[in-house]
Amino acid sequence: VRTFAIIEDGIVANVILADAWPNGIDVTDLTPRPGPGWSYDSETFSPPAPVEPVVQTTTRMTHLGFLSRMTADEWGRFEAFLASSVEARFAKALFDAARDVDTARPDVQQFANVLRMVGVLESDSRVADLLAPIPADSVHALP
Amino acid sequence: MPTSLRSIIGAPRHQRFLLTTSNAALPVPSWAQGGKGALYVSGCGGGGGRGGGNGGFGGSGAFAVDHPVVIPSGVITVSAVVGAAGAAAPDADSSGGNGGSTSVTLGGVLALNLGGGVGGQPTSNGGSGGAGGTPSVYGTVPTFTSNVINGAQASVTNVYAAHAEYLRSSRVMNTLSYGVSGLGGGITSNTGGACFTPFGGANGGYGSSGSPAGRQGVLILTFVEGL
Repeated sequence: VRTFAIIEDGIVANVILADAWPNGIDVTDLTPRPGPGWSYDSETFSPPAPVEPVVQTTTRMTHLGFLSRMTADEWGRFEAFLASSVEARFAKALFDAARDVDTARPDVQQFANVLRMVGVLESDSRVADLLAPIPADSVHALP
Repeated sequence: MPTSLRSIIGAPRHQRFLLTTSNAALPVPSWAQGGKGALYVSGCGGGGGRGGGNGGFGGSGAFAVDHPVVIPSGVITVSAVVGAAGAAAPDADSSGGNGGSTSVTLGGVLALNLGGGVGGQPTSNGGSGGAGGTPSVYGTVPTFTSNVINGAQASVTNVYAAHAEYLRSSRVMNTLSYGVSGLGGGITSNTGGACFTPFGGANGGYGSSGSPAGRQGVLILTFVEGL
């Protein structure tokens, strides 16, 4: 049994096992052995370009993971804001009571936007930082 | 007592082939020609190889169990292709090879394609597992397939829930089994994509510089006489 590469438009479309195959190129003895996706220029085989790593992320995280995104200055302004507003303290109480923080939830996004409006967060990019997904392999990420 | 029809005409004839290599012109039995027969296809694509440097595992080839194909009138041979195993990564920084696709073509029409599993990435490039192979039926990919790049996210439950959903949705043949995607190789667990036979799976094991290859595909073709 031999291994044949089936070429379509200069690309290895398939690699099959057969005793013989019409228009197939015998790659049994090639090392490394070409596979689907390799290119072929009528003489040599070339591997495909490396695939960029895919970083898995999630929007669910622990409270610590969320709050640790704030700087000390932002936290100081946040405490001042809490002292000045019963609505803010109520929102913070709900936040503390939540099982986790999901930055995809509208109420969490609204919370961050309010922090921007009252000056706790000083730029829109800081809002984006606060709401950004977290890498799935972070210790603060939740399934 | 009434006489059963089967006692008069007999049972439909069957002929089964187990193919571990391809056959460009497998003869259709005469009694299944002329629009009088069906072909039931079981098998899988080749499994992907593991990424180098103890990288991600390859995905399994897509598989099918007794997938029915009507044999059109005039078709006297079947082109049966068996996908090869995904090659081992040649060095620590290379990905494992993709598995070859296993397929059945009748009268020039690709009736069923069982894609090979994708090779895993090397540790130096993130070490993600390869995606499971994708099946297609007359060129259409079933919507229930799950094809997850990172094996850590490739859930057996998700794949089989989707499979079961499809089976429940079939009014006519609710026992029909289409090929479904293999599972992505594991990045955090030392397991390759799931496989149910010695064929089509991603291979396990370790290699500090290279990696193990996947496993080849297979085809089990059963011609059945139509009465």
